Amino acid sequence: MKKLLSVLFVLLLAVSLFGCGSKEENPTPQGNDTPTAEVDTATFEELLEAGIANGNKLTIYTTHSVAVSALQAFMRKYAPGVEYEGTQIGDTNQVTQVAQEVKEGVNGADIIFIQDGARVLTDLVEEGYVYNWYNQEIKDLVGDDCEPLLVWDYCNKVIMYNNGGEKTYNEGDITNIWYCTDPANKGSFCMKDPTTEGVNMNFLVNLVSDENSAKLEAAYKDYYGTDLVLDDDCPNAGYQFIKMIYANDMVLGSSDSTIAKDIAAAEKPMSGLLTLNKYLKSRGLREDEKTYNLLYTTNNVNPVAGFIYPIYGLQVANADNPELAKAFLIWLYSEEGWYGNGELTCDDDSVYKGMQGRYGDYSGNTSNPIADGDMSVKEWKKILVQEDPEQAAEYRADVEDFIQLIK
Amino acid sequence: MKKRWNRIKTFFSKPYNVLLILFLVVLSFLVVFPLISIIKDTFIVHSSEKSRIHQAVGTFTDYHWKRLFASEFSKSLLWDPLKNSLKTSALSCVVSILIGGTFAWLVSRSDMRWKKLLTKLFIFPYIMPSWTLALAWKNFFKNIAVTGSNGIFYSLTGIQVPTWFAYGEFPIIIVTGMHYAPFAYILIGGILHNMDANLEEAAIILKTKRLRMFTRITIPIVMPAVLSTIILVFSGAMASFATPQFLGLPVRYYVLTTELYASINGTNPGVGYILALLMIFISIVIMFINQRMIGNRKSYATVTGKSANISIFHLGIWRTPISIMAFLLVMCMSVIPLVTFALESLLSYTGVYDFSNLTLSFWIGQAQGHDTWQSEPGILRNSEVYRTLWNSIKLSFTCSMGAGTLGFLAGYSIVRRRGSLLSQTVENLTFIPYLIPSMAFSAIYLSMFATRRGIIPSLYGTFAILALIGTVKYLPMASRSGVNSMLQLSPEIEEAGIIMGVPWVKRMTRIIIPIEKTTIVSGYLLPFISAMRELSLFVILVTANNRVLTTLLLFYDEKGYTQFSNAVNLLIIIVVLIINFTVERITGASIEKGVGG
Repeated sequence: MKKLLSVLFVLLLAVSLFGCGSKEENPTPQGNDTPTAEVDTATFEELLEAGIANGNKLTIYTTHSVAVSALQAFMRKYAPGVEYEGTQIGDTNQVTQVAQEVKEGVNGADIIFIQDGARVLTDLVEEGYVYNWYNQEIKDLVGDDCEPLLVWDYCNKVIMYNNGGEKTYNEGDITNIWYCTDPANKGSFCMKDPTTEGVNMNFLVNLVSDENSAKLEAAYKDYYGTDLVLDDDCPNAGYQFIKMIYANDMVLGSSDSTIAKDIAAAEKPMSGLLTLNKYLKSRGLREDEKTYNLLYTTNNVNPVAGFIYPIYGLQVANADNPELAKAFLIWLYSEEGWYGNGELTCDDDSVYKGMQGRYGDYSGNTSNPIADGDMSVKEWKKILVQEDPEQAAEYRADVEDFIQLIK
Repeated sequence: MKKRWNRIKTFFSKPYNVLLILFLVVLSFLVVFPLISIIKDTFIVHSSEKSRIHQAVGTFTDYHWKRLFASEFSKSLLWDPLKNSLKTSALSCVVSILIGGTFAWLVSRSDMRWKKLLTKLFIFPYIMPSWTLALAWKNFFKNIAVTGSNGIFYSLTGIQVPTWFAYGEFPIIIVTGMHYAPFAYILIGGILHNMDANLEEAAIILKTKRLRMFTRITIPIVMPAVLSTIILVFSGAMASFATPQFLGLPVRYYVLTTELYASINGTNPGVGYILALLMIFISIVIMFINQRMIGNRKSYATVTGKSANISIFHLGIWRTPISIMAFLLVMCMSVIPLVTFALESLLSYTGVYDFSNLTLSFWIGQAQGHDTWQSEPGILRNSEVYRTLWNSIKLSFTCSMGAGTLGFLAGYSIVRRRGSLLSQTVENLTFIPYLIPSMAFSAIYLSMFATRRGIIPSLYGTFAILALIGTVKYLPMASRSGVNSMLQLSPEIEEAGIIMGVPWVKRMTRIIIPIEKTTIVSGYLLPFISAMRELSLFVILVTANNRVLTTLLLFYDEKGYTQFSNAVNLLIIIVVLIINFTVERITGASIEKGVGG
């Protein structure tokens, strides 16, 4: 009885205390009201001037480290008196943080650079926490990639494999994506755990679309020589493919870098879906012959050699300095914003080099240069699955549920 | 009316009553509200769930409960992880009791060699972060079948361990068991040290065989400590996240905590909150069993404290072999993990273990550029590392001051009013944070303090929210230590002061604190060390400005900067060990006293 009384008493007290905690009225996010259909006519110069006049600190969150150094270079040159802060945060944490901050009226980011279009659409854009914005200047440079979410940077994850030893893959071994379901390659295909990084999940979701599923079905026949017979729980070839890679002991890793290093050191043929910059990183290692080369596949893989996904640049609903955030975004599409000009410097006084020499990063403005030896985004799009955030948002729960049952 | 007023006045004239009321009010807000909040979260639609539930965010739904308990997903979301959690936790208990209990017996009842050194090293795994042994296991035993490359063990011996040995259930059990073995050693060792030797002497006089003595006297005497160990290890293992994440994920072996993490970060956090509730429920059941057992423990009143004549078992010809085996075990648990971290942080290329591949670059080198594996300066040159190290120390110090002081005061007031409804309520309240999984706890604090509530301003992104959650989360440790120490202290000592008219503050500072000094310091040390190595409690509350060392480690790990993450891990352990041993040297307090009360 005493215990019961004490529990009841405490519950009452907690509820009354909570009731007392008055929640301040937060400004309702205005994101949904922000028109995206009409293109803003404000120019870079106007926005920059307004941003400097506003004078508030410019804060960005980004999944890509270059956006942080870009912010430093931009602010030092164009808005030297204004405070700024750039923070690298992963996509999942960024979704939680931005949603929480805007909902509670806390001043966080003004602009975010974020991947995982499906979660961005459902959790941030539809809720009005962030909104898609571009002006005519951006529209002229980026074209169709302004909608539904504005693409700042394209990244790709391509099938990469070890090469250069007796127990590795040879160049040209991988010609069909169904190789990773082949029992001969059991336990040798790796990817970053789709439940920890959304773009990987979106790729799997995009595979179950009618278009990609049809391509997969044809490729199956090409690889195995017989027609694909679907299991009862697989509505199409996309689902069947996912089921078979899991059943073939796909190795789930916690980061692309770790997977890349494991593959390069592997004493058996190993492969995985990795960001293309791992190719350059591992290239230097071979000189000492400590590890194997990492090579990447291109247009010789039927039907696709991986996937390409955008990092979007989006405005936050309760930005302190929206004008400067927009000016910064416009600048990022310029060649100076993308590659630097040899004179801009970052906070540690190093020269800002932007995306110079980086494989696997392609500006939303396709006229910006790419690294020597890399292919253009246009070419990559032909041989990779391109992230479709709307399809991914619609079917993501279905595919996650499907994986939950087969994992 | 006047009579009632006088009663109220008398009630509040006692400092411990004032303290109890304060604790009741504050803890109700900080502890019970989170519980109510979790329950609420299991019935509403979260923004990431819109596409699966097709209802507006924040509206009522029973989707999560149905999905978890009555759908085709129940098996993979609930029953399999639950079964795995229960199995690994139960077997971890067996491992820790076997290792810790045997070691405790060898130290306190045999003539094993090098006792002083071995006991110091044996408690390392508890001082080190929980993922330490898991990471070391992975570094050591990783095999070609899963990662394509082999670990240090293969490089040394040429033997490739099977996958079940390298990943999944088996290593999770062994690693968790080893992590908690110090608990078993401290609790069982405490009883073995203090037990009345007369019982054994009587048996010897009666010419009882050694084995019979062991099974009929020693085992029953240590039984309460074994049961306490089971409770602690079982709860700890159920709540552990990093070990199953590191060792289970590569082979897709899931337990409740890893499933909870995936749900909360994924597109169905509602299910995650139910899993959190389930874990709290299991912990409450365990606590209930514990309380029943403590009730029964009265029948084991064999520990008198008169331990002058403990009989020492002579190991004879086995002395040296057993000592060497104990030494090797302790090395495996405490020293080799540190060596593997040091080694991994020195490798130019991960996975290649030869001398020509060693470098100090990841400690003291310059950044090498974005197309290399070292895109940041070495950790001793890295301003971010120093900033986070300082932040970690500052935070741990604040949490330790908060939890230690409040825990001591709670212990004092609970014991002084023992038996009253108020005291019992506050005692239960101080223990609730132990039962709430760290990750769920911090998720709730995030939503509680992101906005202004009454007189409390928004704490989002501040140092204060980390300090607050750390203080509340570690309060159970400190208050248990406080209650235990105050129970040992006869109230007459303070009463003497009251009769002499000594004011409360003076009684505390001149009488009680000096007497209980070492236990009180232990009550501060435990929260400090816990906060230094805490990850899951802080990970979603930390923003870029107040990053701590453990979240930096996670950042490096997620980026795949293996050498950096190993180096930072080693740095955390070194800092914790230095602080632990410095405090121990100066004050005589120790972790053992904190755990054992």
